[in-house]
Amino acid sequence: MLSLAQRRTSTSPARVPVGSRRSRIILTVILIAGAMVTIFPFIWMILGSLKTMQEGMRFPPTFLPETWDWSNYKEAWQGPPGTLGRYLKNTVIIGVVGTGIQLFVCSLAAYAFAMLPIKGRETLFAVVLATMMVPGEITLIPNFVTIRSLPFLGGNDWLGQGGTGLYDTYAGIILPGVVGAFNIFMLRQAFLQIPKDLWEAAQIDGSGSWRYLWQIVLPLSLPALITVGIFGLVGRWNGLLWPLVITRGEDLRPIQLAMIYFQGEYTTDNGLIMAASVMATLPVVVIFLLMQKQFIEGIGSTGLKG
Amino acid sequence: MARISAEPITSPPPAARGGLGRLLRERRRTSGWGGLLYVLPAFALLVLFELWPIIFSIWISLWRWDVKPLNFIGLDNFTRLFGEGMITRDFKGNLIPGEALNSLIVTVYYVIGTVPITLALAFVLAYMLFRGVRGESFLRTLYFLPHVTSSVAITLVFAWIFNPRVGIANALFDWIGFPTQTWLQDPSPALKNLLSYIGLGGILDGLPDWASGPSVALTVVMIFSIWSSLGFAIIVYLSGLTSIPRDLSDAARLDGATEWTVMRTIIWPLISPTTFFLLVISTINAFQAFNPIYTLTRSSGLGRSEAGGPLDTTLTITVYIFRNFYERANSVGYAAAVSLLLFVILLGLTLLQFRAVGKRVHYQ
Repeated sequence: MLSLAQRRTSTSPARVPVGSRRSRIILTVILIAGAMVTIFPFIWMILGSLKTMQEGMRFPPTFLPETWDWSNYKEAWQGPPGTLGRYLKNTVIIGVVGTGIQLFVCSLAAYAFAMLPIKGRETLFAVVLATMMVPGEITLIPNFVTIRSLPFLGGNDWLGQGGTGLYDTYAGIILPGVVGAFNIFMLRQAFLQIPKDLWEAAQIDGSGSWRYLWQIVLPLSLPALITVGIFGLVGRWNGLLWPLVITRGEDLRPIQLAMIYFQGEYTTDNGLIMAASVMATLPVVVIFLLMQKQFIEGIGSTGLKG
Repeated sequence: MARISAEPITSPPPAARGGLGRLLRERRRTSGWGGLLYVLPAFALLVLFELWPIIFSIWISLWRWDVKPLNFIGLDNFTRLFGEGMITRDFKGNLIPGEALNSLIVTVYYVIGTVPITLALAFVLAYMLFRGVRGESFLRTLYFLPHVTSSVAITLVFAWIFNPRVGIANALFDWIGFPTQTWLQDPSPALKNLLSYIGLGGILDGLPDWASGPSVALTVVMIFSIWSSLGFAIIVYLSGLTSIPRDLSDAARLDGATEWTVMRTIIWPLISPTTFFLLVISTINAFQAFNPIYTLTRSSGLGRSEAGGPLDTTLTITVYIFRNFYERANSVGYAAAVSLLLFVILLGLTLLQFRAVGKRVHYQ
């Protein structure tokens, strides 16, 4: 590696493989080996989902399934109460509604912090950023109490007493995590990169700030919105602690809690658990793979590099 | 992170242009109240669900509280936290760390065992990807996949891989001639075991187990955490590396500098804002980690399906808070007290990082 790229000249364009043939091969081999280790758990999960219960309990384990047993998928689908489909439906509702509200509310705030003159903007923005330091564990308990005692909801009176508020509702699951200071920060970074000539030109044309946001700012910031949206979707897809404590039964619980259910009920049938894992993981992987180009682009524009 | 300042990008409106109506519109637009409406929804939600909880936690921590407040007990929860929670006696009468201090020690092991390794690995891999290999974007995607899927589902795969009886990790150990392990059920210190296996057993023998580094079980959890957070750090590093101007390193190479010198004296200092950003974010995340520890160690604690075992060696502070809040009766107030302690620690740590490292970071 030491002699790598010594012959390179400053005229060589970026990202062209450089260095001696041998060092490039070594680099490639190391990177591929690392990638294999990284994706091994996924491969093991898929292979395991096709093994029978007996084969899943064998030591030393087989690598490829002896008989490709697809019945695990059907059984895993029907395993938890109300089928896995119910948990997936809950996850999609929580993910789509939550991320939609998140993008809307955070975009508005980020836009104002980036472009609109507000009295005391610096102070307000500092307060918003300060909330990033508040750990999820400190908000867990008070938010639980707050959600249960929101006034006029779920049988509560105006003092928030008597009922259960938004406890055990979709709204209760979605609401506390719907705005993140970090999302506002990322979107603001992206909005700041829009040339301000555009804003001046729009003002001369008589375009108000609301129209400018929808017609210019948001369309130009699509990669950043996709990045924030994917982080939001993935976060909600993987949500565990909050949905666990804010729901009573299995009715409204999202997919990760189905996996907790599997972990408790089917401790020995690894094939079944792996089949459920594949079904719980696949949707979010597919979404990421479809969106990854914009996602990576967005990471650059949201200032996610310090 | 240091570029966070609310620089206004709007210049004063060109007042001379247009008539009176336009002038009024300009004034309305720049007076500051319209902009506030945009901020209001997000701000209200942040205040209610992020800032109010800090004050509310203090209130809850003064109560014996179950689902509802039971009775006001003043500072009793804090006396318990800083008393028996910190130092207690075992059955022989020796002084040992209490539950809370133990969870702090476990958390520190977890943070020290994951953050530096993740950042170092991420930098090396990102730099290799950046130097250009064929299929760079494909490899990048593979490395990032765990970050998207770091969920319960994938921890169950890890639990199977590290299953003491049928896991492939033990098959591998068996195959290369190492003694098989009980992994997530093993509370003994991993480092001590390793040292005695290679014949250096005497070094850590004087130390009690809680002071000898992470347990084998916690090490497995740490492996999972490094695996799942590596991809994010790689992507952020790559994004930082692409924004470094190339003329400096190119000039150095022309002057005959070795690749190692270029990396050490040019790339590494210029990438330091990214490293600092990742350090702050990863430390905070590691202190707050819950999901992998909970799912990997569930049913290894004391009660039925309690997390944090074996022998509380994976009981990080977050799992300890959860245990008191959700799994133990009447301890919500105590859990709130512990979460306040975590908050103070995190706040102090972040400020410390900004003071200690922030000054030495090189900004372009």
